[in-house]
Amino acid sequence: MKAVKLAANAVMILPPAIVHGLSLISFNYSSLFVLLGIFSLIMILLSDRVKLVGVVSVYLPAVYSLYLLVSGGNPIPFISLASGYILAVPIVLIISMITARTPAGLVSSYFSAYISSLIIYGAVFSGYNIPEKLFIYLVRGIMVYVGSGPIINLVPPEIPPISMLATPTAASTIALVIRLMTLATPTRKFWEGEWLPALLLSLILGIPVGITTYISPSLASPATLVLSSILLAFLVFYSRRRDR
Amino acid sequence: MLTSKGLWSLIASYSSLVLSATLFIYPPLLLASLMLTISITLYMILTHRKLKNLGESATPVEREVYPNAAAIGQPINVELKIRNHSGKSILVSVVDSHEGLELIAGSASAEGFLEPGGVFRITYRVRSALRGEYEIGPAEIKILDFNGLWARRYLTGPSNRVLVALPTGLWARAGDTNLRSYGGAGGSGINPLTGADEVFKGVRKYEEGDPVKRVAWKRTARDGDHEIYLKQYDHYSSINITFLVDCSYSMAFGSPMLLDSCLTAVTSLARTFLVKGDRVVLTTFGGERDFTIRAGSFAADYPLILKILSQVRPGSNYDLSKLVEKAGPSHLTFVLSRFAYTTGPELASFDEKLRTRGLRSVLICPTLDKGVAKSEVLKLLDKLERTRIEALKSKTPSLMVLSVQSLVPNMLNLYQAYGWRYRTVESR
Repeated sequence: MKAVKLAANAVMILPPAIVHGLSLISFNYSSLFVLLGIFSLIMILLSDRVKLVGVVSVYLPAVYSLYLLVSGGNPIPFISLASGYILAVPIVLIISMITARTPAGLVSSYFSAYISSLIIYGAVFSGYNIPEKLFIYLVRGIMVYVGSGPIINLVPPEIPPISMLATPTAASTIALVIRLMTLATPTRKFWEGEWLPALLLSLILGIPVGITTYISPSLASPATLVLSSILLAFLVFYSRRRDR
Repeated sequence: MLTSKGLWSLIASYSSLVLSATLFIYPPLLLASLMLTISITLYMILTHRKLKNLGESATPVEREVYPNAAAIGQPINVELKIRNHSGKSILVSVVDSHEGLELIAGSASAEGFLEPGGVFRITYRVRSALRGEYEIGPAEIKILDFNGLWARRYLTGPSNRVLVALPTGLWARAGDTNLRSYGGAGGSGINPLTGADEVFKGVRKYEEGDPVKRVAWKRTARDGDHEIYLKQYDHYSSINITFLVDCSYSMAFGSPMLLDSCLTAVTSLARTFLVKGDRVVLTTFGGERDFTIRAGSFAADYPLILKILSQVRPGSNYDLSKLVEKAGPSHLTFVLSRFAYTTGPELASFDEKLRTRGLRSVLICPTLDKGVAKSEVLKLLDKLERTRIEALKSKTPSLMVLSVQSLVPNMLNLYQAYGWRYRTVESR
């Protein structure tokens, strides 16, 4: 059981981990405050257990960088620290994905980790790969892409190649469903219940949409929304009818 | 049905899907969100299909409640057993209802896995500070999927009724002690509790079968005619007494509760009147359920009075105008109430209506015995209560304000004073 969970966790985090790994590799760590920022935000996760960790790792660097900004007029440490926080967001979300205890938590942290890593990837590979630029990009630059086309797309134009992430994403989706199966019932066999048929059925239902994505990308979004709405409506009416 | 965990899962997956289809468009992510959403939705549909056939027969419930009749404040033990007859492992969540009873130990709800044939036990203790008949059960069973996203919910099992009241024996004894301490009900007889409403008529010669206790020994001894004489008595006719007792929440305070003190007094008096041969009508109003008991015989009806009054449970508001209709023909009607939901003019109108119907009514506002109010709030409340009663009295001067300790002697006096007016001598 533990092995299944570990394997599922490892596969599940692949897409955001790959994307964010590429971003971290390409980032220019011109100031050590960036690393301090990354370390600080990750340490926040531990601050529940060790209170002193939160104080030392988060408040001290923040106060010190603010002091440098106010006293010496040097904004670099402050901005670098903020950029470090930004770079740490996908890592924190990946950790919370692994430690999630509810299906809602798992799904939302997966989505958030994926999106945040894509946004940072877009920034880093668009040339905003030094602390000051990354910070400025996220403060004011993100909206540049809003309204850049007929469809509002907050994912920047610089995205990882689809061919690179298609397979890890597919694998991570299946791993995510397996992780959902093993989430609440550590003592039960994870294939008991209805997750497996649900996964198989969803794979069958997802094939037409997948094909649509390649044939006519503009139809993919409406097709997903229509399919999911039909299923939701069916769930509502089916369960109401039977519960009477 | 969808559980809150399931609802949040749906919200998370559908919002991810909507966002990845409208704002963060990246094809692999879009397909991943779609697959996740479809998987979760299909899982719920399939789980519903699987659970919908499970019902009461799959999880039979047994409940043991001890004791079934308890005194106020006495702990009542409840044990609930749920068996798994579904033939498969289930995750079950149980909540046993015990409305109106205070949980003092254990928990009335639990969740856990039940293997086929397994038994799930819940034990807890409840008590009530208020008199009345309470219902424990039915149990709400939720059979959940192993992830707790979807559940089949139903109510099952028999519900048990529990009676919470003053112990009956104590109640009757308290009433008797009250009566003895006030010199009984009066009358010419030797029974201090009931008296005997008989009037000496004369003597006649003894006939075979006459009771020996009625022999007039002095007369027999005085006359030397070798005859035995017997005393003859006339008997007073019986009368009808009606009690209208307010059982609303306005009477449910104090320790012992004002309502309990009033019902104890009424029970004692009803007992006395019944033994005397009078007829008693007892009507409660403002309770959760209102009762009317028509009693004409001590042996047959007094136990019924005790039983029914034990079931009285404070309830909501009442309408005095409707109460007039409940008051049937009676020689004397006692109305015991704080009239907390009544204004002065309404009470005056109520009194007037009772008189119009030819009823000799006595309106009594019982109060708890005056103690030293410990806090400023209690002092203020006491002052407000006195002001309210004064306002009622100003409109209805006949309203009697009596402390619970003086209820029995005062009502007995009223009974004797008014009762004699309506009694007639019946020759035997």
